[in-house]
Amino acid sequence: MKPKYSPKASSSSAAALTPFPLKKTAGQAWDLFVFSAFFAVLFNAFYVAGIELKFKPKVFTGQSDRGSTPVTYSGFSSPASDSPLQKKATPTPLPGEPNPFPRLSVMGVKQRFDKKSCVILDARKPEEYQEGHIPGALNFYGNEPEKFAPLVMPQLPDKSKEIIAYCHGGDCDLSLQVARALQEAGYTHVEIFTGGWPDWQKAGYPVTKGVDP
Amino acid sequence: MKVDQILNDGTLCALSLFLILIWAGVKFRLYAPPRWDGETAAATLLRLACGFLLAGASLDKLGDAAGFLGLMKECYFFVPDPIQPLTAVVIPWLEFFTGLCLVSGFRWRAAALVFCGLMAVYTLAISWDVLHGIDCSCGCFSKDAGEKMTGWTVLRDLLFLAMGSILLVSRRTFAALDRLND
Repeated sequence: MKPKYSPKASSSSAAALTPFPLKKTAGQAWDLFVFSAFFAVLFNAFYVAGIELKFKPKVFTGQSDRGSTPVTYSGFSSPASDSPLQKKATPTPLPGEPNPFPRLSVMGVKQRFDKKSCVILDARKPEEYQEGHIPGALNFYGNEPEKFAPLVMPQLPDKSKEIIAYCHGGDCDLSLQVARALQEAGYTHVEIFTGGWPDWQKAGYPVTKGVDP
Repeated sequence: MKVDQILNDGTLCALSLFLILIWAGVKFRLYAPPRWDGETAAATLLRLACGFLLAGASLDKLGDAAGFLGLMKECYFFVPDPIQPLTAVVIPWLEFFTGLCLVSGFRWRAAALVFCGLMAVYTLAISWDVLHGIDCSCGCFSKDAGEKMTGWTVLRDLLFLAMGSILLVSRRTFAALDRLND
C-alpha cells in the first residue's frame, strides 16, 4: 500500500513511512497567526483610519446626553413606546469619544432606504449633491452647519427619527460634523454611513440628480 | 466587465473544481503526465491558487477596518462584541500574510493549515447567515453590497476548503521558498 505521507519517497517500495509533521505545522501556523495579529495591531495603532480596539460596553445612564429625554432600556417598555424588540435602545456616547455615532455599511443603509424608515442627509457640497445623490436625501453641507441647519432642521420635526449622514466615505469628516450639529440640536438617533457616496454608487443602487422636490 | 463580476461564486466554484479534478486525475493516475512529477505540479497549482485567492480577498479590507467592523456588526453579529474590533483588524492581515506565504512557498504547509482554518470558519459563518435568511453582503472579496450570500457562496468556500486540505497533505510543491518541507 502506498504511504499516505512520505516526503522523500520516490516509490512505494523504497518509502519509509514518515508521519505527517502535525506538531511542526501547527507550531508554524501559530507563529504565522501571532505575527499577523501583532503586525495588524501595530498597523492599526499608527494608521490614520485605525479603529478603537478596546471594547466599550453600552453605558446606560438613565438619561440621554441632553439630560432631558429618558433613554429607552431594552427589556423595558413604557406604555407610549414601541415594543422593545422593535425599538433599539440608544447608547449614550461616552465622554471624549471622537466618533460616538453608530456606523452603517451600505447594506444597512439600503435596508433602511427600502423601508423608508429614516431620513438621509448628504453632507457634501451643494454642487456635488446636485451632480448626484441618494434619492430623497437632503443636502446639509457639513462645513456650513449654521447656513444649512435652518433650512434642513424644520423638515425634521421628530427628533427621535433615525437620521443617516453620509459624505465621500473613507476619511471624510463632513458627515461627522453634520451628526454633531444634529446631536447638539437634540436629535437622538443619528448614524453615519461609513462608505458614503462612493460605496452607494459602487453598489449600483438608485441615484438622482439635481434637487429633490 | 469588471474583475469582481467575472470572479463570481459560480466561476470560482468551477475554477476550484477544475483544480481539484486536475489534482485527482494525477493522484489517482487517471492520466499520466509525461516526464514530470504531475502530483507536485498539481499541488503547486493549488498552492498558488489558494495564495492568490486569499491575498486578493484581503486587499479591499486591509485599510478599512472600520468598514469591515460595520459589516461584521450587521452580518456576522454572532461574533461576540468584545472581540469584534480585534477580529476586524486581524483577519484581513492574517489573510494577507497567509496568502503571501502560499504564493511564495515560505512555510506553505503551515499557511495551508491556516487557510483551512479560515475557510472552515467562513463556511460555518456564511452557512449560519444563509440558513437564517440574513440578507447581507458576504464581505469575502470586498465590502461591496453586491456580494450576496447564497448557497453558492457556501459551496464555493467548501471547495476552497477542499483545495486547502489537499494542499495540506501534499508531499511537496515546486518553486517554494521553504525547502525544508520539500
